[in-house]
Amino acid sequence: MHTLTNLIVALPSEAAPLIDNFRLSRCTKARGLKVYGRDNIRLVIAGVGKIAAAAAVGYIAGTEPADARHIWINIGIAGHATLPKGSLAIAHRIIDRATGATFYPAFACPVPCDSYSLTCHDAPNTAYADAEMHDMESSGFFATASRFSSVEFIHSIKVISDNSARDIGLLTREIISEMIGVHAATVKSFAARLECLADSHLAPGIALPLEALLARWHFTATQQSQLRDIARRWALVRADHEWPGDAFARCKSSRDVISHLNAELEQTPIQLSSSAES
Amino acid sequence: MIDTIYVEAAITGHPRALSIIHRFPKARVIECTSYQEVFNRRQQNFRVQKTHPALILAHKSKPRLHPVPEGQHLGATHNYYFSHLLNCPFDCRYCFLQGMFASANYVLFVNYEDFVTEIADVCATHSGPVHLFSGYDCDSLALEPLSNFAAHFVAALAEIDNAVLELRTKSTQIRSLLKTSPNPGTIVAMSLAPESVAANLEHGAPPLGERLRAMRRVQDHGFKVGLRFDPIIPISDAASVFRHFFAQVFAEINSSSVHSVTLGGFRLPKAFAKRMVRLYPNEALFAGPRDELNGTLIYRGDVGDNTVAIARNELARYISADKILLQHSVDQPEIPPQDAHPQ
Repeated sequence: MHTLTNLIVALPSEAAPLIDNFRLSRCTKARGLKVYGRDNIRLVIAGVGKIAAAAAVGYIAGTEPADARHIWINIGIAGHATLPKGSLAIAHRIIDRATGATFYPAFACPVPCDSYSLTCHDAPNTAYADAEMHDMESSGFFATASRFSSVEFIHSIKVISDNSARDIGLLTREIISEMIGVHAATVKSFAARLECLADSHLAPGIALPLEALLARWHFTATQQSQLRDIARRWALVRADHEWPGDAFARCKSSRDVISHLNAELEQTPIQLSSSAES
Repeated sequence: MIDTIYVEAAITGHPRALSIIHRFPKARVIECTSYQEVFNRRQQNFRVQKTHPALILAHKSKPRLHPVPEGQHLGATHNYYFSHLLNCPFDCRYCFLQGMFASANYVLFVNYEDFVTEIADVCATHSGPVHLFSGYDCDSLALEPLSNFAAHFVAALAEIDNAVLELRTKSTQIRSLLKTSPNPGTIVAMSLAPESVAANLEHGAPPLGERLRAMRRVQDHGFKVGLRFDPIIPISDAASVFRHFFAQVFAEINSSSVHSVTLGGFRLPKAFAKRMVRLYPNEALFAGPRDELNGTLIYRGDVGDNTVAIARNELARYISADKILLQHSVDQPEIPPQDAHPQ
């Protein structure tokens, strides 16, 4: 099991500075979407809109190993009535303007900038009301990503690109890339912080290997689930950290094996000093 | 340090909410429709949130009082619990809240006056003492500087003749109690465990010595105190550990004026245990021998030993049997319902 950091962006001009900063390469096997990657980082150029963002999240989740731990960061430009152009902000609430659905990203570590509510529109909108950011991807991104990760690991980070319709008209690819590029290192640092949090708090359980037992006896799916739980408990409470090889000689079936291992576990007290995981 | 506060739109103008928000000028304040859309949603990780919990300010609607499950009281006929707060700043690995709640964020219900009114109404329907437990879904005192819960409720319930309030805690936040006139309708109950258990499993909670000194001060001030040894964690060498532990406890606490003592085995509803194992797959505490009874897992100690029975025997050196109440143990098969085990 490993942690994957996934950057979802709408535009190539938003992606360019991130590709440079994260030193990503084009994934030639990807179909239907432009995907860039390196080691445990993926970047998808999704296209504009919440459906495109949702599709990009689904694509990554569906093509990576099922047991991967995913961190999802949506990066892009957004509008705001008053925030200075070029400033960085993170969403603490995402409202889908069309459906009214509301999402709350959870902050489990310090964030690199101020946070604001973010309203997601189906079409370009320049009636910037209240102190909210406005974009076209965040609700689809968040709704889909939260199927694959817990909400502490899903964030929308926005660079304020415009305060009015006039500003939007002046935006060019170069300006967008420059605006995102200024904050690429900050995004990278935040992604690293989330990865650290995931690695330290979502660690998989240790367990004894099952291969030898599965090869010797036939275990049903239910029995395999029971066996995995036994293997986890065994690794935690048995000091030798090995299966009791001799004892299996008397086992004639998978049921015997499970029964025997359970009986052994029920005779094994926990040692408190070894239970200091925090 | 709280850096995120969610507040229900309906209570943004509530004086208690405003006062709390004012205490955290740097916190981001996020309006929500109902606390449940933040607290009860799926796809949250309790363990991750525990590192950085947010505060949710909310309004608690009726019913605010709930009957206490069988076997979870102090011997009174009428027993209720209520929760002004959900969750706790301490991170006790055995705590059932990890399995019960989807979120580790604190939910503080600010409409204290509605709780008091409902308590008064319920107490009026009973002629005898009504025991009211405030520490089932939280630690009663741990967030006192923020909540002013004890300061408000101890005084308010003193006006209700037959109300008996139990404040259950592991914290040393007793300042507001020491400023309050003690009254016979309040029991300050401290949850205690041997030092080795506290050090290994009660992350963030004050050490045993500090808890005992706090309890002593509360006792000296004139409040009734209770001692809660629940859960008793199955440990090796239990007799020796508990002999030393109770000697420490009663060197500080005057046993003759202790109101009540409860003991309970380490047990978890199976569904909660499953979630807790998922959160902490490498925690040996959940991997030890256990029995299953009516959907509850009861964790045993060393083979042939019953840690609860050993603890009870050692406790009997200091406390008369009639003051010791068993909440549940292996040799006491009555199982409380799954949603209300005291900490």
